[in-house]
Amino acid sequence: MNGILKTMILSVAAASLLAAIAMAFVRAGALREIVRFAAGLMLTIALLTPLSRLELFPWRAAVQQSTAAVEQRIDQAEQQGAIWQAQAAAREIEAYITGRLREQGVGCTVQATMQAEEDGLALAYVTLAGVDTGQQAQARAILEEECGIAKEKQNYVETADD
Amino acid sequence: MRKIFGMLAMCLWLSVCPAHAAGGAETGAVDPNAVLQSIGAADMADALPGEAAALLGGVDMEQATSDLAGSVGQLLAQVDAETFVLSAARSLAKMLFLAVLIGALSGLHSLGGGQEMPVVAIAGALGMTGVLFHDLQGMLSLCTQTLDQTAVFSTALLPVMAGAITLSGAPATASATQAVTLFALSLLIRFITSVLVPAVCAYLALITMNAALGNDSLSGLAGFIKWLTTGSLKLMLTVFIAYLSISGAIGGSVDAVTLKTAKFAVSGSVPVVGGIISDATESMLAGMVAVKNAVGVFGMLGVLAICVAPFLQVGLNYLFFKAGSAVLSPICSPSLSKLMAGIGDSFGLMLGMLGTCSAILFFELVFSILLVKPL
Repeated sequence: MNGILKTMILSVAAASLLAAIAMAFVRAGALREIVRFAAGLMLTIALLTPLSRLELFPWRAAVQQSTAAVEQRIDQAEQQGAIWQAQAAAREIEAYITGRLREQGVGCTVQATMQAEEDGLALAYVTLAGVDTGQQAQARAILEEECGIAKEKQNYVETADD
Repeated sequence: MRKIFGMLAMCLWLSVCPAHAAGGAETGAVDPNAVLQSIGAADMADALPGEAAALLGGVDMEQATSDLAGSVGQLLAQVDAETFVLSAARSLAKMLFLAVLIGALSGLHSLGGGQEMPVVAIAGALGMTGVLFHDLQGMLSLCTQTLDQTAVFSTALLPVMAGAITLSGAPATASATQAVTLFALSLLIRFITSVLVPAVCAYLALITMNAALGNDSLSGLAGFIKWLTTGSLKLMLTVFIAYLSISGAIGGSVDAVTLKTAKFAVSGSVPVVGGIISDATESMLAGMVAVKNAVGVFGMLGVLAICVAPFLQVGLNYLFFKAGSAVLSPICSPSLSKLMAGIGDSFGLMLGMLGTCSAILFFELVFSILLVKPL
C-alpha cells in the first residue's frame, strides 16, 4: 500500500510537471485545448495505473507481531511478580509469628509456605522448628487463636539437637 | 550500555529501598537488578544507538527520577548546538548569495529597459534547489535514520515498559496500551518512510518547478501535498492520544477493581495472616511503581537522546530559512520568495514527522508514569 502511494505521488507529480511545461509553451488556440486534454488524460492515467498493483497491507501480521512481544513480557512479569509477592508475604508472616511466639517465651524457627488461589495468595502451611515439646500446645493455641492458622496447617519439626 | 544499566539499577535501589539506603532494617524488598533483568531492561539499554548512549552516559541516572528537568538539562548541555547553527547558517548563506545574485541580475536587466526574462526565474529556481540539494538530501536521510533508530528502541522499550507496568499491578493497562503503541509507532514510521518522505521530495520538486515557470500553476498541487502530509500526521497523533486516554482509563479501572477485590478477599478470609499478606503484596506493588517510573524516565531520556540532535538540526534550518525568506522577500521576485518559504516549509514537514513519532512515545511514557496508578 505504501509503495502504491509513493508511486502514485511521484507519477502524478511528474505528469503535472510535464503538463505544466507543455501548457507554458503552447499559446491560446485549438492546440492549447488539445494539449490541455492530453495533460488531463496523462494525469488520470498516472493516478490510476499504480492502483493496478494494489496489494493488501498485512494488518493482521503486523498486529500479531506487535502484540506477541508485549504479551509474552506481560506473562513473564505476572509469573515473576506472583513469585516475589509470595516470597514477600512469607517473610512478613514468618517475622510476625516469630515475634508473637517470642513474646510468649516460645523460641523457634518459622518457615511459611504460600500457595496461589483463585482470589490471590494464601498461606498453605507453616513449619516451626525447635519448639520444645512442652510448649507446642501453647504455640498451637497462639497460632490458631491469634493468627487464624488452623491446626492442620501447622507442622512441627524437631531439630537435630532435640 | 552496562554503565547505563548499572546506574539504572542503582537508581532503582535508592528508590525502592529507602529504609535500607538510610541504614534501616531489611524490608524484604526485591533486588533491583533481578527486577530489571526479569523485564529485560538490558535489551532496552542495548537498543540505544551509539550517539544516544554517549549522550545518556553523561546524565546522572540516580537523580533522573527525582529531577527529570535537571537530567534533561544535562543531556541537552552535551549536544553540540554550535555545529548545527554553523551548518544551518552555511545553507542560508548559499541561499542568500543566490537570491541576491538573481535579484541583482533581474534589477540590472530591468534598469537596461528589458522585460523580465523567464530564463532568469528558471535558473534562479533550479539553482537555488540545486545548491541546497545536498543539504536537503542530508536532512531527509537524517530523518529516516532517526526514525529507524526510534523504531528499534521502541521495539525494545515498550515490552520492557509493559513488564514494569504489569509488575506494578496493572496488567490490563499494560496489555491495552503498550501493544497498540508499538503497532501504531511501527505503522507510522513505515508510513512516513514510504509515503511522506517521497511526498516531501515531490513537494520540493513541485515548488521548484512552480518557481521556475512563474505562473503559479503547480502551487495547488504542492499545497495539497503539504496539507496531506501535515493532516495525516495530525490525524494519526490525535487518534492515538484519544485511544490511549480511553483504553488507559478502562484498563486502569479494571486493574483497580481486580486489586481491590483480591485485597478484600485475602484480608477478609483469614483475620491476621490475611492482613499481613495483603499489606506485603501492597508494599511490593508500591515498590514496583518505582521500577515502572524509572523505566519510563529512562525511556523518555533515551528517546530524547535519539531525537534531540536531528531535531535541533532540522529545527535550526527551519528557523533560519523562514527568517531568510522573510528578510529577502523585498529584493527577490515573488516566485523566488515563495520558493525559499517553501524550502523552509519542507524543513517544517520533516520536523513534523520527527515530532509526531517522538510525541507518540513521550505521550505513552508520560501516561504510564503519571496516570497508571492501580493502588
